Amino acid sequence: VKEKANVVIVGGGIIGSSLAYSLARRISGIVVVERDGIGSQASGSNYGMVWLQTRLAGLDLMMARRSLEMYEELTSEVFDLDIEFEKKGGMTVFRTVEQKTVMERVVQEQQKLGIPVRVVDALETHDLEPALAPEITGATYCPEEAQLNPILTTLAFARAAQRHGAIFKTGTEVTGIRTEKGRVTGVLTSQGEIETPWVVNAAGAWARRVAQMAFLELPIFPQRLQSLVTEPLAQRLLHRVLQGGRMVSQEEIDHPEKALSFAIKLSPDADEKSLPVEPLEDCIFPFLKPTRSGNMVIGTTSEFVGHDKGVLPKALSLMMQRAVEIVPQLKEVHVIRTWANFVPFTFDSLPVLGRVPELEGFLIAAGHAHAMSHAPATAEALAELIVNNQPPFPLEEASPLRFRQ
Amino acid sequence: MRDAEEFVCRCEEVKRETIEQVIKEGALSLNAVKRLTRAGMGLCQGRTCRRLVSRLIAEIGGKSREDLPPPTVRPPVRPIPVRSLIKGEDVL
Repeated sequence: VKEKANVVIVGGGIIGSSLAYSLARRISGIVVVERDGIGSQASGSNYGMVWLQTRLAGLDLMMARRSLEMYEELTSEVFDLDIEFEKKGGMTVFRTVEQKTVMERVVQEQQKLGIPVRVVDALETHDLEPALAPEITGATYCPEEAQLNPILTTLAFARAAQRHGAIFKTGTEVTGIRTEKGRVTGVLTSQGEIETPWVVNAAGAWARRVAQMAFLELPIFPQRLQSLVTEPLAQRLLHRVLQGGRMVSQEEIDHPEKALSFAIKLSPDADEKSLPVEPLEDCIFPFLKPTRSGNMVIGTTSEFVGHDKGVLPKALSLMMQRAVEIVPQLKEVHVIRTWANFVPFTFDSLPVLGRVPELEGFLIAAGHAHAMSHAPATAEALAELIVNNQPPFPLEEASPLRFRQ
Repeated sequence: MRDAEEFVCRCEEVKRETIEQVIKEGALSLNAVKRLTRAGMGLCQGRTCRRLVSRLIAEIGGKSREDLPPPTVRPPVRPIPVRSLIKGEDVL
């Protein structure tokens, strides 16, 4: 007897788990198929940050805002786990006058979008985080930004979905998509076939492979982030996430709008060969997250190396060199664990959400470079799209069709 | 002594009852237990508690210890001083 489902979600990360929850509240027969365990890839090993100051105007910012509101409601009314959600704000710290000049103009643009971010002077910066190096002369600070524990958040969504009847098949790999006359009819897995009219590709950095099973090309590429965690620091940080100000170029000083985003812009017809291969030194983006347990999570690189999960001692060394310039007491501790994960990369840094015209019943919910900032809003939008054929807000910006122009 | 209050993971101070609870809820691998409880995430990275957690999973989950998937082992093998890493010493 073939198993049946109303919707099969491929991928048990934050996107698949949150979508399972949003769907299971509305309809029955929700099945998540996950190759490994819940949150075992990027969703279980990222920095757990809901940023506003790095968001782009439009859908990106709107979904992050909506997700922030939803997390507050979810933590108080839905989740049965403490996801360590804390709205303590994020800071991008800087040292030089040039960096300050650029950041001030970036902040002006962001304020026009209604992002509650401001530039704080040296005194206030060190008041906000006393562990910072004396050389730090200021920061941009957005008190509305929040952090959470990404593993527990993914698990909390999965458990909430299960309470509403969703089934999670972990250790189960999708091997094919069955179609008939341009419609999805089922999913083949390592544990047998599931009959279903809807398949959602929520496979994150592996979404391209899943799309290929349906003979669709989906330009989502894995971007490797290397990270490490230290033992707890003697002087606890105040739990604000810190982003090191990067070097600013003359171009950015002249055109601050170019400094607004960290995204790498590529043309829509970009493929793997278009992805930049840069020297390691230019792939380091210092990032420090004090966790509730007192350990410091430190990142990151941003590299295109396919699905190679290696960590490079040189990358870790460069990362730590930048990190101790921000928080000097890091010199006194030990590194206890290192890892790499893959975040999905798209040419315009926006996720891919919605239907594809070639295959009825096949939906994409992948390509989130900032899945923690976007998951709850993504889940609600796609659940409404599936159940009522009407998303609560327009998804055109994230349409799969934008790659084909 | 098999007290529910005893610490299985001493680094992260995770009690036996906490670990037993998540195993009963379906965490049937060392990685799954780690993600839920932090057991094995501390300074020793599971060197002390790995065997104890395996035994609990085997007992409660009705599996043999040999059948459990091995945990993800991430470098470094021993904690390394940040100072050495910065200097680019061969530490990993």
